[in-house]
Amino acid sequence: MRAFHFGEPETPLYGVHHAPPLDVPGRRHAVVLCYPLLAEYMRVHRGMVMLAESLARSGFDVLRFDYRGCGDSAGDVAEATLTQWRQDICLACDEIASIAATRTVSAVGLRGGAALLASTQVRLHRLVLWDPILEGKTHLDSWIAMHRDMLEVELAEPWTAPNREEIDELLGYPINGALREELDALELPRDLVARCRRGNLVYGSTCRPCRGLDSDRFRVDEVDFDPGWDRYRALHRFLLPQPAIQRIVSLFEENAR
Amino acid sequence: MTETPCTFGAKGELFGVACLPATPSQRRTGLLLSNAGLIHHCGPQALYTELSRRVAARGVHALRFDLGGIGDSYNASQSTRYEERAVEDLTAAMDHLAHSQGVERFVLAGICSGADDAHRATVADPRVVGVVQIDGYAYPTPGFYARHYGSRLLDPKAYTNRVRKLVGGAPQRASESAVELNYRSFRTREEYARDLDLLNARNVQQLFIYTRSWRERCNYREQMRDAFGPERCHNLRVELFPRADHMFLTLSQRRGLLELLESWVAERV
Repeated sequence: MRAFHFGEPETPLYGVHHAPPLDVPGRRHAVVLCYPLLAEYMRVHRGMVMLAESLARSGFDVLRFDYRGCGDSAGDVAEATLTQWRQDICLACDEIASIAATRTVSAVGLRGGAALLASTQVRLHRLVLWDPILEGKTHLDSWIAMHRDMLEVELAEPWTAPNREEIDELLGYPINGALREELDALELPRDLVARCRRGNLVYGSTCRPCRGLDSDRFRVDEVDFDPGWDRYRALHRFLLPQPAIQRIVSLFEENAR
Repeated sequence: MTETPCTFGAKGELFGVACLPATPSQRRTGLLLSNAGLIHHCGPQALYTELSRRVAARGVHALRFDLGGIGDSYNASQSTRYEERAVEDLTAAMDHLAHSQGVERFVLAGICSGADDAHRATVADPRVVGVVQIDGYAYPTPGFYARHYGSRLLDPKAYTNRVRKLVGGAPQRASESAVELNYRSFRTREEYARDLDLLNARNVQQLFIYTRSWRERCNYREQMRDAFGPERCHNLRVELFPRADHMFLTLSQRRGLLELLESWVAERV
């Protein structure tokens, strides 16, 4: 594991490269992991580390990274936008391609990271969407409900959500106007299946199944875990979703045979 | 200010991000931020990242890092007890900043179990000159019980919960609101009194912060002073955040916390 900064010198992004162990033949195939957004980031960190390590043990070069203003990356999250984060995904794909000296780059996106990834123009060998946000508007609604629960449960402060335009913070993160509008408009692209060469959607048993995506080039898999994405109390529960991790690793291994 | 990922520890098993000041303070001082429970080194909602950058702008070397087996660090310690491993890892972090940056004195800070770890490492290492505990140790006093039960006498929810309990139902959201208390091991009152004597002999400054989520342990500002006496607590400052939750998930409370921590740490330089 090697941590480093990459991207623009003024706002460097923080990345961690997991290389295949020395005794494992490399596949010359790189994988970028795209984290969920804001409040969901913290819950999945260890799970993403486990996924990165598992893929590396299978011979893949893996890069996980923090979006601008998030985690260890530079920048102010109060000014962040989805447009910037899409650019960050593209930068991360270029970076790992360069590090691993390969043109074969795939990516796994979780939750909001999946929706962002699906809406970038980056050319991927394989696209894996893990419990993707299907509609940003619904996602934002669930964060608003969780924020209300947090205030009521933890602080005994009744909260009536203000008009959508006036919401400026949710679950410990500032939400600027541009980000709110972009989140509201976020959705999986309608032409996803058509433009995806190889795609997979992996979802937990309590997430809403995605209909209309299953096809020759895009496989939908259900795995048994309950992430509780929409429950406030689950926000403090860390996810180590072994079934999903195993499924994703096996998808890559099968494909590489 | 520059940020540098680093590995350290006997086998390079520990991982952190050092935030180095452009103009270090004359007395090179380091701030160590270790995990709040299982949250990795960025802290809750990246609180540690922001605090590191703020104090680095004030000349302090900050290191946010993961204890063995948490976040990006591996566990290579032979110690079987978590408490011992945490102190070993914090000592290794101090050694790292001492060797790489010439830092000689340290402030340790932690939330929740991180506060307990910071206290134990402060007791163990004479290089520590200050410690911040957020929702850390607290000991009940008559004043605590008076407020604790007094507030319940005036709270209609307490009665409805009592009735629900008697008829076999779950209390209204009470179980959800409590922070899990059972995974932390606390120093006994006698042990803590001895610790305070030792830290006072070294003139270690302490900042205790309690949130609303910790009101089942501490519910008034003078509680530590009442528990241990004013003499033992003369180096101890207590601040209550009665409108903050354990993770500081509202921005106004988070801002208040960051301002307090930044200025308190800067005063230790």
